[in-house]
Amino acid sequence: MTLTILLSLLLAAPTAEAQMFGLTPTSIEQAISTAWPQAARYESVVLEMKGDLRQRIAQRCGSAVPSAPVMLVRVSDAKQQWIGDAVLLDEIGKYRPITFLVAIHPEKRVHDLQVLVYREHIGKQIASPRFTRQFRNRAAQPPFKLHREIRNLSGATLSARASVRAVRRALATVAEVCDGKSPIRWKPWPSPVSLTVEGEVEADRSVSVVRVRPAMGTVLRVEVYGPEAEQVISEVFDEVRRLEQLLSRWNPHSDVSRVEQAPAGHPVKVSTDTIECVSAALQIARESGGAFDPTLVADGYSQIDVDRATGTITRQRDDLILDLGGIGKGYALDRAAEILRELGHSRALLDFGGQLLALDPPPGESSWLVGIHDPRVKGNGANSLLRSIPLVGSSLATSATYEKGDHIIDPHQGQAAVVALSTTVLIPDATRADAFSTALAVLGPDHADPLLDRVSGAGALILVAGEKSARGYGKLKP
Amino acid sequence: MGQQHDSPVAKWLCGLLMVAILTSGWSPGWAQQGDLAGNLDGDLDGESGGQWVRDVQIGGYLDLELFINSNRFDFRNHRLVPMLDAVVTEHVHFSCEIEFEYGGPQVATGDGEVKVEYAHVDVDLGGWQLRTGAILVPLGSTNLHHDSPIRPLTQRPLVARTVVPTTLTSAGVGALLEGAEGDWLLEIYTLNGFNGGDAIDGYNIDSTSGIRAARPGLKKNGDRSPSLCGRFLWRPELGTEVGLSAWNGSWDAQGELDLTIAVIDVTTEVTAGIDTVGPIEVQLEVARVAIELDAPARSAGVPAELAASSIQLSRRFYPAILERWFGAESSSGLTLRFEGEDLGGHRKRRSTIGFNIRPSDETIFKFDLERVKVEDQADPDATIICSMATYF
Repeated sequence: MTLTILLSLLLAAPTAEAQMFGLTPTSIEQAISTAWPQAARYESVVLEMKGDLRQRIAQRCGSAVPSAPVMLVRVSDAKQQWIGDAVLLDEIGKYRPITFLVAIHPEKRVHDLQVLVYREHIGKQIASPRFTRQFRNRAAQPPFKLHREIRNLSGATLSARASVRAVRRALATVAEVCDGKSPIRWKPWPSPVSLTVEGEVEADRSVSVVRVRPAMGTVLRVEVYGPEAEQVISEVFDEVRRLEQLLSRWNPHSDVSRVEQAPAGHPVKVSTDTIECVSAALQIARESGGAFDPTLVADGYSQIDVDRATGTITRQRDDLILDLGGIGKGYALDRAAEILRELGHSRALLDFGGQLLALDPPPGESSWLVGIHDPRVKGNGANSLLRSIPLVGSSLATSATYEKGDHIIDPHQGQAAVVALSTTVLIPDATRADAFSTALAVLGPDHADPLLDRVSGAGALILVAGEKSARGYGKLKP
Repeated sequence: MGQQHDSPVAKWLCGLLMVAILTSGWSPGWAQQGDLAGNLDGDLDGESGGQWVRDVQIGGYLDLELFINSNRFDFRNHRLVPMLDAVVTEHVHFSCEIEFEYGGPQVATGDGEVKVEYAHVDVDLGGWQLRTGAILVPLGSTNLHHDSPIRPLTQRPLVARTVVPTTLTSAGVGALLEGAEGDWLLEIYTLNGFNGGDAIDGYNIDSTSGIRAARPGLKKNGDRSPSLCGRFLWRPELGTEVGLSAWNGSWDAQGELDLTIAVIDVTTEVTAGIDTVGPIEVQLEVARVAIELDAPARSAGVPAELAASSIQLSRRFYPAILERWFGAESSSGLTLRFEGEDLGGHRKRRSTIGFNIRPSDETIFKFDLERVKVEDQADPDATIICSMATYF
């Protein structure tokens, strides 16, 4: 079924998407802005109505679905919060297609209905706000019908009927393809922001530039405001790639691999960054009493020696490994932040596989508003958030079993540690945030306060299985 | 009694309208791409996107009727009405409907005809619209919204047969102006007048068919002033419309005798106090024709006044069984209509109860029971009328 949907999601160029309806991208943006004045970012997908998808949408809305394609625009505000979906579609009035824009809340309720193009010579009054207002807050259930919940306009019955059909079909389409089960390949639209994996960037300099690239086994997303942001982001990616070559266990030539390969007691010359990262890891291991341990062996951290003067690392036991997976991304984020600041691009947000590092806020804003996902809720709606947090000059890292399964190992037990459903840590530097979220996931909520007291400006949000709401600590205390 | 209309206001109005068009800034600059609001008036190429092609749509509607009483069992293919609609340029829109009644005039045993119901060109003048051609006369709501598939009963109301003889079309020119919120609409036209005849060739207005036989022509108006017609529609709230329509012009061949028509129509939904029943649509239409007479006309029996009124109550239902068969857009309806007509002869009253099934809003199956009572005449049978009508 998923494959069918994927096959049905055929992407078209932005200009072609708009022209399907005889509209310019600008006019569609204007319409979306009317519905959501705070709209700032758009991603779109064109759905070819055929096959299984068409049939299932028809079943949901209880009437036949025309084969004409439908355009979906996912709308977010300047803080990247998803505020809704706009559905552009045609419905036949008396003889001619009427182009509608149906704005739908994340909760699958109608936010607004607009008639973008009316082509008949009578019945134009369905475009009036007092007719379209009737559809606000309508959901697929309970069903709404013309002449019952929706008042008709005399002389415009077929156009009014088309409005009802359009809204029903838009709700059904969003429900069918945006329920979180069906992966959608959203495409930046029209092109203010480009989200591509290893892709080139087309950016409007009046807004931010976003680039996404695979790194360290996950995806690094960098959003930067300012001129020449693309070049700056490119330098950030270069730096992260360099660090990955030093810190990855999967690269046999990395510093970490060379330390592992060397006999016990033999110092291995490594780079400054490796010294810094391993030193930080060992420091946090000590602070957490070994709950976080880069050796993945109980108290193994105490048998790794770092000599800053000679720039060497020595294992004292042959069975020790050196796994910086719990801190390497955080360290790379801090290094990326240094580069951004050095180059004068401090209005930036970095997202490294879910760990966020916010520098200065976007122009005109006081912070980056980010959300912490509630692992008990499927999908990405507004009600799927544990909490929204304004983030400036801080990092937010989450360790949760819902994303990667039981991947957190308790070094003392040697098995998966399942204490909390989700552990989120807020700390000014990303290196500590990354490691502390792992440590706290192992230690559990009872150790949160003592651990966080060690770091100025720290906080944590821990969701324990069976509890209705998450517990807040430190700066995230309710 | 009659007045000579050698240089009437209407003639000048027609001329002024044309001058207004020519001086209102109509220029090739209009060919620029419209903005979003402008797009509401239609684009050139519909779905074709960017290609300069003439966009013509074909559609229409059809109805089939069955009349049953003790004297008749008639199937009637009453109307086949093809429709053409074209976007000529960004600001010029053409639309027309051609009616084949009873199969047209060539059918051997029938009184069918083929005629233009309307064929007009709308020119968007930015804020108002010029309309010219064979115009659907805006007298009352039934004449404007006469398509069989949208009407719940088979027969059109009496007020739309003899007093405002639907489909009433006339050639002329006029303008439409609509409120920004769609809360009001004003239409004003100058048109060819009624052809009521004269003492020499005979009169076309009587107490049986009213002014139906005197409907305006699309060919000529003779040496007469054009008639004026206007309609102001007010929509005080969603679902409620109040229309005030009027016609004035000469009706006789010499252009000396005035004919004035006034129509009030109200459409609304009644919901207060009947929550258990649901919203009931109420349609009221009242029309009166005042005919100026001279001595020959009076002696020929031309009535001085015609009047008719109609009130119709309709309620829609959404039975689950229909939804299973036809889908979510199906419905059924129950309609009651009470009418009166006074053409200067025997007064007529008619009551109709109708049930209908709609697989969708485009198609309807109607089952009506109609009873007509004419003053001083024995009550005839009630007539069962079944019909089907659909857009295509």
